[in-house]
Amino acid sequence: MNSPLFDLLNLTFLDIIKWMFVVGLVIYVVFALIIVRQVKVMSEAVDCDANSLFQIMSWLHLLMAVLLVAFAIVIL
Amino acid sequence: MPDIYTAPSKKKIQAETYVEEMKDSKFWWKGMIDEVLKNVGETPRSAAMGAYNVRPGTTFVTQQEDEEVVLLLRAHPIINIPWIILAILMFIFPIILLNTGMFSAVPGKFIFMGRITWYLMIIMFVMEKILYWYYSVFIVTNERLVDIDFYNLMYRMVTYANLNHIEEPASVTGGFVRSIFQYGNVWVTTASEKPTVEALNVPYPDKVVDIISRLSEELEKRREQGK
Repeated sequence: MNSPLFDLLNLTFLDIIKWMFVVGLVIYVVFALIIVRQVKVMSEAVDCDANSLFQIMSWLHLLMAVLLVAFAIVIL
Repeated sequence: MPDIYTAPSKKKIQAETYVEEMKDSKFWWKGMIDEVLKNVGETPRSAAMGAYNVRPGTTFVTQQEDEEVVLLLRAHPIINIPWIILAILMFIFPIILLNTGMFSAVPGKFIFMGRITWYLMIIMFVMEKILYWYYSVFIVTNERLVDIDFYNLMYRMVTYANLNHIEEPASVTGGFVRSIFQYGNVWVTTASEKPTVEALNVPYPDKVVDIISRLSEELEKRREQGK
């Protein structure tokens, strides 16, 4: 049985979980952005062969994180 | 009858003349590095899966015009084994957890999203570890030692020690794994406020110490000659 507060906002328990999930993933996207920035800083510190590879990986990681937020909103 | 005197070959004389000429030229350090590397029996190469690089031709932040990277060192790749095992365990963890039937009441779409999120977090964990390993480097140039350490995603520490101001460098090896894979720590004492510059778990520490000592000696000689 849902609590009166959930009824008032027309929310189910799973809706609450869903939005907690989404908020968590948004925080994760911010973290992925920090990684992109940090890889850039690291690449500037030392010029190595794999710099471009790591930069591509960090951008792909960010893209996956953003897609996951969209997935969470649509699927859940 | 054995030869009493063997005339040096023409090639050898040419090489020696080249080194002497380089020492006095604008690019004096190139001759010095050639000589030091020749004396320790090193050639430009990369070994230990990119952890030991001789004259790699790379550049770094704050590098000067008359400075060349002689050694670029990272921790030996073998030290990455513990976190690789942890990542594998993390990867199989959801499979084990789901087989226990603990989440049988949870809707499938939540389980699906939870798994994807978990795997993405593993990717991030692996990326972070690789980045720390790859970018935490110890660089030996013809002028100084540069120690670049990344402690976390926000914090970087760069330590410099001029080869003119270093005391005798030391290396420590020992233990079963270190002996097999030939890696250890290198400590260089300086006269500055931060007394030591350290390179931890680097391959061939004896060679590293040898190269640092010889470069330092060459610089000292040059200083004595007033060049």
